[in-house]
Amino acid sequence: MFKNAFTCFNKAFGFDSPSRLVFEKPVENPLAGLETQGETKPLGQQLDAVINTVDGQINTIKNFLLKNNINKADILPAQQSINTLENNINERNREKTAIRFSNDPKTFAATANILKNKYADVPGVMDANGYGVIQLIASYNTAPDASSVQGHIADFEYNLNKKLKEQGKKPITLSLEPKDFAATKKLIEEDYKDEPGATEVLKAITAYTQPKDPSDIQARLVKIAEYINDNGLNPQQLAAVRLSSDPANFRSTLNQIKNQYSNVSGAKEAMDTINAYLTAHAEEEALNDSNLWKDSKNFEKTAQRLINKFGYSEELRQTLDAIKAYINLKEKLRRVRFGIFQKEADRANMALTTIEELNKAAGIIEGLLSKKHKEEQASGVPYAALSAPDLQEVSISTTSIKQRALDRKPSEKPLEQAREKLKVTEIKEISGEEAMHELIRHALAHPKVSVMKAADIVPGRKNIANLKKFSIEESMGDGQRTFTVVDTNNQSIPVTVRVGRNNGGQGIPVALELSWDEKIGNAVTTHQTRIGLEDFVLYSKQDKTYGMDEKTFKWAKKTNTTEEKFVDTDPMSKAENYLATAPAGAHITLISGDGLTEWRITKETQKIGQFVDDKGEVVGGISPKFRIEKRIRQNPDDAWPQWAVNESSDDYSRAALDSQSVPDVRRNSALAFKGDKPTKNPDVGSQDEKAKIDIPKDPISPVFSRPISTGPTKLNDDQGQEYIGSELNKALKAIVASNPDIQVEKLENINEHEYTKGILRNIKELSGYIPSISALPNSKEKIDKAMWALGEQIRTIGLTDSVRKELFDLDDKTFAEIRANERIGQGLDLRSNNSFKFIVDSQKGGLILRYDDGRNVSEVVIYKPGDPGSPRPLRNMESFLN
Amino acid sequence: MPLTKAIKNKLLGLLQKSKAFLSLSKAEQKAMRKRLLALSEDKALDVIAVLEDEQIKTEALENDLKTYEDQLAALLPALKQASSHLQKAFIALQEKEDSRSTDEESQALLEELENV
Repeated sequence: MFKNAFTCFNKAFGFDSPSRLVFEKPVENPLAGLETQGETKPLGQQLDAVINTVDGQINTIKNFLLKNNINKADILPAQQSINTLENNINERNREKTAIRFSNDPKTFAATANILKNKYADVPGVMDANGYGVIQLIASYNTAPDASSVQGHIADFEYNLNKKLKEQGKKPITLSLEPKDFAATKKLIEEDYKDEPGATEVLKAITAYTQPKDPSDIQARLVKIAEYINDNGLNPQQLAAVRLSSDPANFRSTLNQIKNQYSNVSGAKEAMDTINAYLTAHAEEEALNDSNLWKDSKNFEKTAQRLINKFGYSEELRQTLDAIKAYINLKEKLRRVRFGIFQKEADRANMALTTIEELNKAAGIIEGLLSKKHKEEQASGVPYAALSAPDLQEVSISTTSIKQRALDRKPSEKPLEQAREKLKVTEIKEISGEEAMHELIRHALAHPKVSVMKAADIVPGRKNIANLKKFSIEESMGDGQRTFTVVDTNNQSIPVTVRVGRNNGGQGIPVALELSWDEKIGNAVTTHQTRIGLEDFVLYSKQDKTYGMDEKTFKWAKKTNTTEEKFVDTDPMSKAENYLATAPAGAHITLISGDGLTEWRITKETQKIGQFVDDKGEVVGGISPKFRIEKRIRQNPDDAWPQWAVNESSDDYSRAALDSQSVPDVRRNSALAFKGDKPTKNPDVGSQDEKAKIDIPKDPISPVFSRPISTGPTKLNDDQGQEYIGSELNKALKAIVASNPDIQVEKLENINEHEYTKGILRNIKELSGYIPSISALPNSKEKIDKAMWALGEQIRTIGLTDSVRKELFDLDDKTFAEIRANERIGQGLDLRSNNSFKFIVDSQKGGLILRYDDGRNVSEVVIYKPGDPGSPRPLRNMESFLN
Repeated sequence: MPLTKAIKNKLLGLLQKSKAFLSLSKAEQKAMRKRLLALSEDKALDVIAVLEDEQIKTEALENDLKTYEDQLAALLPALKQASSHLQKAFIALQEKEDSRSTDEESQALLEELENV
């Protein structure tokens, strides 16, 4: 049994020799083979090699513990009891519906009729030789011939009267009526028994009047009935019941027994053994959850459960301790790597800040020159002539500095730092849930998302830009997350976000793909859209180096409206920032101060950041392309002519503008930005200073393959209503009473659906409210809807700190950290804290309340279908409910 | 008014130590140096302050990084050690399980023989 485990273990360590299957002594160097002779690998690679190896090792141990120790006996009693019950059920059904033929000879004719019509082919029913039961019954029922008896009586009477006449006696008369045969017989027996022929008459009368023996027919009918029953020939007979004994179907088998056969002998034992198996199996599955083997806090619980399951042994305890020690080290490694990245980012930012300061200082000279420029312009010298070549040298764009900071060669720093930097751009590494939360919010606030508004003409479509709040419901693996987005109508929309990456999935994120389903009735419509997000995908609080900084972002996300912040003392800098981070298709328009010349810089292609190969080497990137166009008119009142299209450039810097005869507006006060007056803050800037940014309506067309539907059915008019804790009854009543889809049934009629019962109990436990009419969903969809509504209503209730602490079993330190991070007032409003989610998962756990702030995760199963102990809401939550 | 020699030297010295400045191309460095040396004294002192600030903060960051990198380097032997412990513990666990399994099989065989 253990050979496989040894083999896996050896492979995990690179020991492929079969001789290693026998471990006489502990291996001296468990990492042999990881290091190549004479070659020292970079530290990062060595760390990764150890991590990969030990992760594999732990996986081997996990498999060893869970798979090799599964108690197969748990399955057998359940399967045996299921088989026994199945036999009992079928025997009972057979007994109930088995055909039987009456023993009463009076019914023989009817039985014969049935046999003739339905079972003529059954052996023994008909027989060519006349011995079939039908033939026997026919014979049995045939009355003897009275005339022969009458003949015997007449002959006896003639001979007797002849004798009596010879003796001079009076003759007698014997009745020939069959009804008188008995009297005749009695007379003969008493008075004429010894007369010749008396015996024959008595025999004939006896034969005529004595009943026939039905036993043979009765015995035959029993055999025929058995044959019919045994061979399933009775159309009334129930089909044999089959109960699945496949462990995969145990849950449905259990429900089947519970609902249909609970009163059959053996049912209780079957249910008990199945439940025992399911409990044991759930434990196995829970222990197999890889998350329980990665986090040091979770693993301690896992270790205890393993010891409980397999029994304590020093060897097991030491193995588990070794795993825990490794997990702790791995967590520390992660923290250190992230710390290094942060410091690297800070260092790059520092360099950037310094360069900007130096530029700013150098700009004083530009100002002086600009002044000179003005003077010269006033003197009639054309400004174009003032494009002094020496000024070009001063123009050091912040974008290029940023890029340089990013593009530093790997040789300039440890390789793992370069790799770590890229990891930080991965979703999980940015800052956990909070960063992802930020990300999606930014995604939806991005101007590109406003293209969805274009579809507003489709009746009932969702405008995601108006979505109110977002919460991560479930992780779906790297690169993909599912969120539930709650819109302004409190309607919940699951949104799946997949992060597209360059360089075969290893590089930085380049786009978000959002998809979400909307369900109307039974029809589900899937929507998808793709948003190029390289600008703010890379943004996070911890990472100001990549892409936008926070300030720029705040500006950019408002650019679909008139934005006063754009009016600045250095509009070109803002314009540069905009173009650096704007999506492909965005452009800015510049106009000369005399209003005669206009330039348009259009970002043709998006910048794709670093491409990094498998070894972490930077192998290049794609610079953005800009198209610079120009048009000139003779008078300010003339209409503009067509744009003159020039060649694309990968640079829109001053040099590029100059090459297109576009002056550097930043240092030429004769040029101004064209635009409307800001609407939000008209006091800032002037019309001349305002730049007009044209946001492309649909630079990357979202895919709406089908019309967009209206989303989940609105439950009730009170949905926008908020309920405080004391109004829970009211909230529940609103759910119950106002949902037309919820069926109303009597309480006693609902016990056939465990799920439904659970919801009812939930409502009762949550509210103390026992509805006079019960809201009882009778379908999965309705149940889910009711569960969702219930969760929504619970969400509106505030939890006090003490209840939260108790509910999620948080220690003081952890709880203090959570509170510090939340920075909220007293108590917790679930509506505004996305660390709390209600998850409706009927497969896993029913209704789950999860707390997940990215570092601490805790769950409380509020209701679990099929669990005898469910619902357990809220035993711990009673205090807040009260 | 041209900068004094002391300020010029200070400025140039700091520029030579500035990682930001040194990250520029040679041409950019030349142009920047030219512009900065043409600044007024007040502005040059501002630039010096900026460069000194960069130097101080960069040194602090370098120290932090060094600390982290030392921690990173220390983790490798620790992880190897953890791996070694884990392997030894697992081998002991396997041997125990194997032994128990053998015992059970032997016991079953004995019982079988007794029943023959």
